[in-house]
Formats: sequence, structure tokens, C-alpha cells
Amino acid sequence: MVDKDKSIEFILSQGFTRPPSFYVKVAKMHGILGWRFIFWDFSYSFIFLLVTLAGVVFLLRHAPVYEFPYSVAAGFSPILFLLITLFTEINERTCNLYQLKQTCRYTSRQVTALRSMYYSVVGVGFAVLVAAISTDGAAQFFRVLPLCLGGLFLCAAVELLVIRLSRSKFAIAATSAAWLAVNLSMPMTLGVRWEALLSGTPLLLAVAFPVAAAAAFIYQTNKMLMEENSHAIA
Amino acid sequence: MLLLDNVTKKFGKFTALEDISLEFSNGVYGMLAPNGAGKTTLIKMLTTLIFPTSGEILWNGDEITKLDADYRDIIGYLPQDFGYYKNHSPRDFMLYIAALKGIDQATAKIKTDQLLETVGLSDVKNKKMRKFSGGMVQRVGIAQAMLNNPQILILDEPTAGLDPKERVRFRNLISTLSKDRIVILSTHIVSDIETIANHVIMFKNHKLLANDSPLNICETIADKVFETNNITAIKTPYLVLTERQDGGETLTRFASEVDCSSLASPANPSLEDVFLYIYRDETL
Repeated sequence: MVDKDKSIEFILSQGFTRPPSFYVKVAKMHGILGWRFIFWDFSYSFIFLLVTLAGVVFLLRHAPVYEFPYSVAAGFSPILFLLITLFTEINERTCNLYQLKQTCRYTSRQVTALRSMYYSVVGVGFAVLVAAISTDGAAQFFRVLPLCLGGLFLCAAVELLVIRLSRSKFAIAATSAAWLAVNLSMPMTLGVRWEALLSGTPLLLAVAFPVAAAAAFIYQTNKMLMEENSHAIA
Repeated sequence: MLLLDNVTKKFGKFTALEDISLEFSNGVYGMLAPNGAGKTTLIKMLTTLIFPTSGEILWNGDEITKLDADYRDIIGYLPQDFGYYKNHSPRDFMLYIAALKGIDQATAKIKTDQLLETVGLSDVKNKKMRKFSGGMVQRVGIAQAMLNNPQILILDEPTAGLDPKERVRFRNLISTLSKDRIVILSTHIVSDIETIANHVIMFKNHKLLANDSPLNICETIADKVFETNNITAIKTPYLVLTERQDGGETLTRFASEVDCSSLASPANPSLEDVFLYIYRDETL
């Protein structure tokens, strides 16, 4: 360990600099961009989000959610994150400035990673709301909440992975559609068996799931912020 | 110094550029080639939007993708299809791009106002860009490219779609901004290159054909360009370069491998002649 530290000190003394840590980079990016430029020109995306979300809430109100609280909570808790990422990313990718932005110090993808962090915070609030609405009583709420958060972070990690690895502007739309399709088809095809599987998840596993998913999300965010070729368009 | 070392770019089985080696130091470099010759591919590699399939691009000895954000900090880029936010003013747009370039707000405001003044848009800096002409939008484009005072300024077809007056204005602007930096300009408009470039880079069949001064490039077809008002008298094979009306007669400018000086007047070749001569077999 001492040798390693000495080696690092020697390298730094030769004029090389330590790459900024994840938190330093995020703080610096936020400081330079500010809220205004992180969410620049997304008014249409937010309007689409509100309209779509209103539609989803309308559907949920008319669906038998109390029969499948676990299925509904796990499937719909990431919906806010999913939709806002979908609309803002489509806006970003179809904008004629995408290539230009990819040649700047803070590339479009890095700003997307930063935005995802804020969306995930809002997403957590939404997941808590979904858990509260779809459950009956505190005990059930605390059983459902880990599933909601796990679903949110898993969805977020998958979305970022797709954005990172795919150069297609439609990949994010396909991923969102696939997520919804899977989460709708499971309760529709398996019915009470799926609900029983989710509600019967051992407590330890239920708690470990959101922790692992959150770790995967942070890993993907970090990769997207730090990797060298994240600016390439093809 | 920017160096391309045996760079090849393939898209699947299609080779867009093959074995390109180039050196760029301060000055204006004009890339002249027909559409589809690989100019934009090269520009996208220089801006790290795509990576070479083989070979490497070095800035002062370091591979540009490894330099990552440090390389992006020293480039200014005006893409071919320069998008802009119609509902925003040039000033707001510039402040946004400045933030993406990592420039702090106070510096960005000063730099934005200076550059909008340079490109002659300070009187409309707070107006929405919705009603801007093509030339005005391009001027916003070059201003944003200059925000970080780049050591490498890369302009992809910057004068396409501009009227002659705007084109001249734009050329003068590039000339003003070209001091102490590398300017790489891609175009198929020969007069743009002729006016401002110190070096001309030409591609043919996806390979580097020439990298020289406009004068030396014109020299490559010296003694091959002629003018006559009686082209029917020329019986040897020739390539018509241009035709114009002169005192009721058609004056034909042509190129021939054979000396036609007994039947036509020798003419000094222009860059346009070289362009037409070299790319005679290609659809322009």
C-alpha cells in the first residue's frame, strides 16, 4: 500500500493530474451548467410528460389496483423516470444540435447522466407515492416500498446502459416500451401467481434488491460521466 | 500540431477514407472534394464524433480520444447542418453552449457579447433567432465555435446556402479569426478555398490526392489549360472546363493533355480548373 502511494505521488509529481472523482465532477458540472442549462429547452418534454402521466393515472384509477398492489407498485413506480427520460432523450437526440453538443467539454450524454440523477430523486418521491396509493396500511407499505425503489433503480440502470451502449435514437423508446410490456404482461399472464411471488419475497431479498439496483444505477451514471468515448455518435 | 497518422475509416465494408496522413499547423486548410468524398467523415473524426478504424489522430503527440475533454476544450466546431433554437436569442444560445464548454457564467457573458459584436449581431443579440436569415444563423454558428478561443476551428460547409454577399462576409470573418490557430474548412465551393485557404487538401477515391498551397496545386495542370472561341477547331481530346459569352462569341476554356497553343490561347489554371479536371469522372 505504501509502495502504491509512493508510485502515485511520483506520477503526480511528474505533472500528471488525478482525474476528478465522480462527486467532484458532478458538483463542477452542476456549478457551471446550473438548473437552467441542465434542463434547457425541455418545456415540450415536460408537457408531454404531464399529459402521459395524467393518462397513466386515469388508467390506474380504473384498474383493479388493490387486487395486485405489489405488481402495480413494482411495475409503475419507475413510470415517471421512464417517461421523463424518454421524452427528454428523444428531444435531445432529434435536435440538430446533438452532434455539436457532443464536441463540448460537457457532452450531451454526460448532461443526460446528470439529469438522470435528478430524475431519480424525483422518481423516488413518485415511487413512495405509488407505494402509498397502492397499499393498505403501514405494514404493507413498507413491504411494497423496497420493490418500488428496486424497480425504479433497476429501470434507471437499464435505461442508462442502453443510452450508453446504443447510438440509436430509438433505443430508449424501445427500452421504455419493453419495460412497460414486461411489467404489464407479467400480472396479466401469471395473475395472482405473480402477485404472490412479489408479496412472498423474503425480507432480506426485498431490502437487498433496491440497494443492488441503486448501486447498478450509480455505476452506470458514473460510467456515462467518465468514459472517454461517450461523445462518439457512431 | 495536429497529426493524422495512416487513418482509415470504414463503415462495414465501405471504406470512407483510406490511409490518410496529414499534418496541420497554424493556418487555413481547405478540404476540397465533391460530395461523398469523405470530407465530413474526416471532420467527424477530428471532432471525435467518430473514431478511426485504424491509424491515429494526435494532438501534440497525444491521441485525441485519450485527451478526452481536454481535446474538446481546444476545438471549435460548426457542423454542416447547424441546428439552433428558434425560440431563443443568440445571446441565450451562446450562454448555453458556453456552459456546455465549461466556461463560467461571468466569462461567458463577456465572451458572448464580444463575439456577437465581432460577427455583427450585437444589435439583434436579444431577438429570437426565428426570423434570422441563413447568413445570420451561420454567424451565430461561428460565434459559438469561437467561445472557447479554440486552437483548432473546424467548419463543415460553412458557406453552403449563403447568398454571395453573405459568403464574402463570412470568408472575411474566417480570415479574421484564423490568426494563431488551425482552421479546417470543408467545402465544395472552390472560390471559398481560393480566397482564404493557405493549404488545399483534396481527396480522390477516398484517398489523399493533394495537400499543398493553392498555387502549387494549380501548377499541377500548368500548360494544360487553354481558351478558344472556336472549339470545333480542336481535334485532340479535351475537357470543357467553362463556357462564357464574350462579344457575341462563345469563349471555351478547356483542358487538354496535348499542347493546343497553336489553335488556342494558353491560360493560367485556376483552382476551379483543377477541381473540374481532377474530378471529371465523378458526379458533382
